[in-house]
Amino acid sequence: MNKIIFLCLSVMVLFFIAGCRKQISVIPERPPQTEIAPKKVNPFENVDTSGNAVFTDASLSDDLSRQAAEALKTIYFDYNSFQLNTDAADRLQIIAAFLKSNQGLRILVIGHCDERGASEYNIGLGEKRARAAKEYLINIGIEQIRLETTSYGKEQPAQGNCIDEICHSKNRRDEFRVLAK
Amino acid sequence: MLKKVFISAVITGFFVFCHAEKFDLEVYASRFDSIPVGVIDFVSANGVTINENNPGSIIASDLDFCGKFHVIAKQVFDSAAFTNENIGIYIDGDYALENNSVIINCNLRDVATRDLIIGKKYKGDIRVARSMIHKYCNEIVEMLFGDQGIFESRFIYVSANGNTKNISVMDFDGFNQRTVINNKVINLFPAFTNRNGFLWTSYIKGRPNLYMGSVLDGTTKPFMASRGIETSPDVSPIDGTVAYASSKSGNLDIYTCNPDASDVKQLTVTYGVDTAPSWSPNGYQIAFTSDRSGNPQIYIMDADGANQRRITFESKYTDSPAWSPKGDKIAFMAMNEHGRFDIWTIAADGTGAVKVTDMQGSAENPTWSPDGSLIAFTNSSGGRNDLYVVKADGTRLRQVTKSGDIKMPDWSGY
Repeated sequence: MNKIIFLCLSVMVLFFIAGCRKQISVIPERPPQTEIAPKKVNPFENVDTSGNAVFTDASLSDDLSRQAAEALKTIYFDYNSFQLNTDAADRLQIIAAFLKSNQGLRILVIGHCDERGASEYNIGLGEKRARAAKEYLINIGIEQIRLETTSYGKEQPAQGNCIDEICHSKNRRDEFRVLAK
Repeated sequence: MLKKVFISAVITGFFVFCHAEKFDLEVYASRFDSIPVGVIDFVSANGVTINENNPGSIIASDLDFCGKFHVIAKQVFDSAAFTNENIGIYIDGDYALENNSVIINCNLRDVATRDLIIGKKYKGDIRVARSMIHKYCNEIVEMLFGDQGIFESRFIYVSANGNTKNISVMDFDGFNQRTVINNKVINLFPAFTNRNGFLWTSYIKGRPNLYMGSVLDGTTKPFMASRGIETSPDVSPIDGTVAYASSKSGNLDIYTCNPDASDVKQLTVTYGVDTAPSWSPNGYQIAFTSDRSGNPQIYIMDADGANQRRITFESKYTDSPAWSPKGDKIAFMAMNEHGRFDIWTIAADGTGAVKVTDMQGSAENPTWSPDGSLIAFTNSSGGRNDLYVVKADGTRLRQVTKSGDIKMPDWSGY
């Protein structure tokens, strides 16, 4: 009798172990975690972490301010594109001429998108628009160090609540600002 | 069916204990895929009445919100109405207001016998009365379903304010809206790191970089910055590893780093835009948006960047993936033929794509409830952006806010 009970118990234990094994095998093992070293890091190592903005507008003389307003005209893009069209290229030539005759100046290129896309993607697209202008200016002889870029995606439209293409087209743009040294 | 059996089994445990034998049959006979429950207005125990936010109406609203109940709210007990609706259980109670404190008695009862199944008593400051009721609703859900309730969860979101955009928080039901970041610049993509901490993208210094903040005291500190852009943070629910998009190598790619911003790893290296990472709940994988095929589409990859593959083919423009806490689905926004967005869900293997919303406005930035049963999103229409919630199967759509200034919501954990 005791043997039978012992046998039954053994079989049950075996089943239990088998069951456990099966369960474990279907749970994918998490890749081993590398221990997080408690090292001190400063992600802002090369960045000014004071409250001051990185991009401060230059204070220009009246005359230079007029010239800048004349030269740094907004350029526009096609829908979902960061290709520079001929109008944009013509305007970038004027911007380059302005920068060449005002060697001390740095500019910020700000990429924007229309309101139709997704916020996440448009931040990236706006940056591509800003970088397209920056690369064009570098290719025609402007020093890289004088050019900064950023993107506002679709967060600062020139015209809000657009319902037609004419309105949307005014938001797909690069704007330019003269930065303090 | 399995769910019904499970629910019945759970409830059976109660009715055996409480001698409410008819209850199990009534749940089976129900025509609803959710538990029918009656809620009647709470009465004042000492004559001092609450004019707004009667505990009964908050309970009815909570239980209806979560989609697990079919709620019939009545001012007084109505046996005929409850029986006609196949309702086996109901909630009643009373409250006593005294100076600035309140005592609330909540009772779950059997409709047939009116016997008490379980009673709970809460006492506290009148200002936290809603929280007490939410806590009770969490207990009801846990008791009947064995799941945690979502009634103490909350949203962090972008609240538009003219040319600046602030970061605000509110309860899951749109109450207690409170601005935590108001720094006169544009702030985007807030994401909870835990119940009180969050990461977000701010133009504090002119560039969009990542910052870390606390909803408790509004304190902030820089988290990650480069000469490019840092955006769209998402925190692994397993170990707090932060996934984000950065353009420090030229254009937006996906990176990960430790919760202290150390050990930065670049996961994607493409000429296109890679952004909007969303962790799978087990921390093995990341969904993200990429335009490497020409238009933005949803991709997934392993947490180390391996096995990158596209999973959406339904629309020419998809973005904002959000991996369900259950792990089974990824919600995303997809552009329709009118140039507006709908919310869709898809399995992680790219099968079973389903359109969840079909609204007049543009439905954007989905985020899951902590139990994975609901999807919240913003609907943009006529210049107004409000938060909506829908069950993952597309039913029970409801508007949560009416302030018109809500964008990029992130739903907290429990």
